[in-house]
Amino acid sequence: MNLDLQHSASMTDPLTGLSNRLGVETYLRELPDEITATGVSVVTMELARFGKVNDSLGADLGNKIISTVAKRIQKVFSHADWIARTHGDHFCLVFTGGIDIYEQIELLNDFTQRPLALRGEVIVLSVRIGVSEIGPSVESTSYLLHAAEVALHRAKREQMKRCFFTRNLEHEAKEAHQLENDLRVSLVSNHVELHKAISNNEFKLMYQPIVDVASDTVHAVEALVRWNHPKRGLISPADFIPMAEQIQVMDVLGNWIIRRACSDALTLPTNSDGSHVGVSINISATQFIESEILVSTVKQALEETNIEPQLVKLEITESAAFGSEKIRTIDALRKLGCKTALDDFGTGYSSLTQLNTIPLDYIKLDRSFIAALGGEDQLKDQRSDRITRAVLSIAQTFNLLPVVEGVETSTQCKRLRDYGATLIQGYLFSKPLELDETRKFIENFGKKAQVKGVEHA
Amino acid sequence: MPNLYNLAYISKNTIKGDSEKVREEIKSILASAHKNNPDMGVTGALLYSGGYFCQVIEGPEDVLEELYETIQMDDRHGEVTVLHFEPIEERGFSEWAMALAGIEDDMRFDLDGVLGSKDELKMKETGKDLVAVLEKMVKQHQSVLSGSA
Repeated sequence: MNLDLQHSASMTDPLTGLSNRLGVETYLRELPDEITATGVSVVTMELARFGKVNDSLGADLGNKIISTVAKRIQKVFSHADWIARTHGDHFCLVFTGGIDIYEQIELLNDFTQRPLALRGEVIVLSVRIGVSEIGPSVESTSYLLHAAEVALHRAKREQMKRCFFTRNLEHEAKEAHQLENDLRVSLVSNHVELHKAISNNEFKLMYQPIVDVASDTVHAVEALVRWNHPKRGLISPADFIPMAEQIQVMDVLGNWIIRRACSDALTLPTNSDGSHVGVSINISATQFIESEILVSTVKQALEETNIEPQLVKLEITESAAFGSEKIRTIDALRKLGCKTALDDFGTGYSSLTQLNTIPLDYIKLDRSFIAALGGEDQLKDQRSDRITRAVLSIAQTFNLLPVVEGVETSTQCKRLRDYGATLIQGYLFSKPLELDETRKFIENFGKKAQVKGVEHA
Repeated sequence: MPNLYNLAYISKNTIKGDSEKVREEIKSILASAHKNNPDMGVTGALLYSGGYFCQVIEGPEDVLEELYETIQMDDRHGEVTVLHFEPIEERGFSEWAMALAGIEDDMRFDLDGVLGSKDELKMKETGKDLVAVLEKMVKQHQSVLSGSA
């Protein structure tokens, strides 16, 4: 190793005595061409469960883990050209010359994943590794660290043990990064920015009707958020909600959705039988973390709009963690008069015990159940039929109103109705609509129902 | 003695060669333990059983941390599984820098489901079993061991 660099204080990590990020960056940038020509590989590694260990056992033990792992790496990789702790639980090794990179990865895996015995605790970590090599995909050594980190990021996202950098990866990483940045710019978790994004109409709500086929009315409409990006166009929530959760702006966006949906709902016409159309709002799991904010936002939205609370239906996605805290929050929301629905029932962590403990009014059957219902494949149809009936009878037993999502054909609708499910959502009746289209849909649905009524008479 | 811990682990022998070679290596492990452990305040016992090393070390917490790091890096064994690392009231092997509990051809412990599993309770139980068995064996062979030390 280059001792001049390694011993400069500004390039040393005080905890481990290894080089820091600046150190390895400088080393890579200044690597002479004749060494680069022999081949250069950069291996980045992160301790996969470190955050959890650090949280549960304390930062002091966390530091001890980092320094112990650093010692192991130093001992095993005395032949490495450079070793650094780039930040937090991230390490980086540089190899030059004709080494077998797979062998190095094996060694790194082996020694860092051996159990640690520290402060009377036995800790077993797992690691993820990202690798980049000088060559067609990375031509400059100063780019190697970044490339290895892009690969590591991918490994993390895809739950892989290791990942090698390729050019495609770079493209994907740039896209994701750009989207994340744009989202930050649009929100920045600060209200001024958010209001700007909202007044720019970048976020908007669309509504998909939930029809009650027994009374020929629109029972409610589900509010679905869309991000209308000035350059990228309409972005699906599947792409930006996880990101919003990750960069902790979901509560701000979530609160806007609640308020907006409540005030939009007030502008909806009534059904032809005089009943009001409700609004279904998705609540993200992260909104439950700041449960007091969630409850007060809903309360405020109800007060501001004066909407009848029972028209507001809050959809909660099933998750493993329905702890007592979360149940208390759902209880508090129901005490405000809102209805609650368990979303995507039967797909994730469905537990019948949960149906006993979570205070609920509706369960929403995931579209995957009924996808094959009434389809051409008889076997799939039978299976789909069986499970649909089973879930519907569960709903009945627990005294919950079932809402079936993803209904596309009249065969499906009829079958569901025969089984006692009358709340239907899906393309059979309507795709998600803009607010003004939603109003028209409700008006027309009432008229059609009347015509049908006359026909029946 | 305050801050007294014991650590029990099982690891797989990776020494290449016949049983004679293994015996030689075990002797050298014991010799270096006898040389270094007293100064560090470490005592313990070692059993070689069916291709596995079963070892208990006891001493001050920070010393055990260091010693374990040295042990687990030793290339004479691999697949180290730490069964437990816990505070103790008193030493079980206070008279031995490193007692040899025995060299046996058959594995004495039911390792199925312990090695490679993350079942902590089961590991702790096996750890306690290991300590108990080693204590018993060491006591049984006390005279033999003190003769050979």
